[in-house]
Amino acid sequence: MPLLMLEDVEARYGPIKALHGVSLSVEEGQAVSLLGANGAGKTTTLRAISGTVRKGGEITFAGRRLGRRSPEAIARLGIAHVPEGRGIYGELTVWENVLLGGSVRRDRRAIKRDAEQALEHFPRIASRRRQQAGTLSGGEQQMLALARALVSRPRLLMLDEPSLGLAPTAVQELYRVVRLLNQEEGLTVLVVEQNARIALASTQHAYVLEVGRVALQGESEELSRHEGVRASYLGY
Amino acid sequence: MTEFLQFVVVGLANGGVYATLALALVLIHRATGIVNFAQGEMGMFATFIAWSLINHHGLPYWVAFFLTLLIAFLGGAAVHEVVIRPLERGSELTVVMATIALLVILNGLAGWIWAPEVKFLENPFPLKVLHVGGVVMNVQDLGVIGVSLVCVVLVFLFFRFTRLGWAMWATAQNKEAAALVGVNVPRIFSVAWGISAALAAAAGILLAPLIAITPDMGVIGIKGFIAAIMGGYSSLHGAVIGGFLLGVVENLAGVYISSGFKDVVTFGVLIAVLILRPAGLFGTAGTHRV
Repeated sequence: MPLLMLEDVEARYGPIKALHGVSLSVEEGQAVSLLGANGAGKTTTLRAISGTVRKGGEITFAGRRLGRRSPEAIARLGIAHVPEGRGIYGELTVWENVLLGGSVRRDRRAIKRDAEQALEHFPRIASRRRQQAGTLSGGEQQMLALARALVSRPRLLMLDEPSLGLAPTAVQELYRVVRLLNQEEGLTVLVVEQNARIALASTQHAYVLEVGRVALQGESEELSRHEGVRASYLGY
Repeated sequence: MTEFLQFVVVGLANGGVYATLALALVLIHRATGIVNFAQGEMGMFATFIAWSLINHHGLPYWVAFFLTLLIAFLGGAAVHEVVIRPLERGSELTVVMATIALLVILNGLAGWIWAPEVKFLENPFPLKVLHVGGVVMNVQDLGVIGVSLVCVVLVFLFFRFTRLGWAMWATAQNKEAAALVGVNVPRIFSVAWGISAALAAAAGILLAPLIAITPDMGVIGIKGFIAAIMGGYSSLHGAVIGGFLLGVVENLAGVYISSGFKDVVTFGVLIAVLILRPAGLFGTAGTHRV
């Protein structure tokens, strides 16, 4: 049974329907990309999973139905959602931000150790743990958001457009860590991306959303050769 | 000059009460986004509780003081759970109306429970004076300043050093992101209401020996608002400085101009601050990220 399964998930913002029945699944240990144009429903899909938008249909995580659980309850099940725009706490320090990732956990003592470990992935911010998070660059904030998510020891890591607005080197560094977490530590990853090239290169499976539905899915490698995907999202 | 300093100290004592109230207002506003019009009444109600604990139950002053703070904390959290939380999905105006309703209810309840006659609370500090470099300072004033500073410092330490404090600060900045890392947002809000109510209680009890305890002492809440607005309404230290500043300005105006002119000067200063620095002395202009 997949770790995460969406069956016919619908979501709306007021009168506007954003998801018209999305079905997808993510296996334990897999890295999956969710691609699509602006407004295709990628972000809404993640929000439906993390409980930050009202949804219909069925979402199952680790054999449990998410139903109407609150975002904090869903986070406590082991889903870490790094939202678009990162959602870091600008007035807190880097270190405080990272430690707050452990809010879901009961084993208080291990949190500091895990926070140290999470920061080790990102030397650029590890050396500046006393700095106010709001003064970091965009790429560093994204790294911080990722490090914070790791401290919750998630079973599923969801990233929403981590490459948005970052310098190319920062994008490379970020995805290097995502691949490492997935391939060497076996972390399950679901990543929403506009940058299809790097997403397909970093994941095993991919879904393409179009107007709130899954239009296409397959192995990432296969999709990167798919003509429609190449024309629409890879630009060659 | 020494006389001037003396009036400043007296002003700081009132200022401590305003600062504590302003801190309570700003804390609730920062943490939950709500402007609580019932803040002064919450302080008033708690002051009556303290009065009852001392005069009906024979508790020593400081025992009653801390017990009242605890009761206020629980009461504040309960108000959030019972009154505010069910309305939070509604518009801001709905919640504002609810706090105004709360103001009227608390005012009426206090009048009903504690009868109409005026009550007094002893001053826990001795009626003595200290001479410091020619400046005569009343120990009672220093006591009020001291206790309010302790309250302020405790709140700052809470935000600086406790996980719960960080979580509250994080929630204030980004509610959704806090929920996504598993912060229990409704509980954080309840704690914020609790702390805020306890601060208001401290302000009320500190104020009680200086004026009489009546259901109408809740109007002191307005002074808290002025202090908070002068400070910027979003900044905790701004609220505290605004409070002390207000106390001093008010007292100096009372002494050097006319005691009847006090409020004119206070509100004049408020308007001047708002014209010159619309975001308050320490506020950040309305940058709101969506």
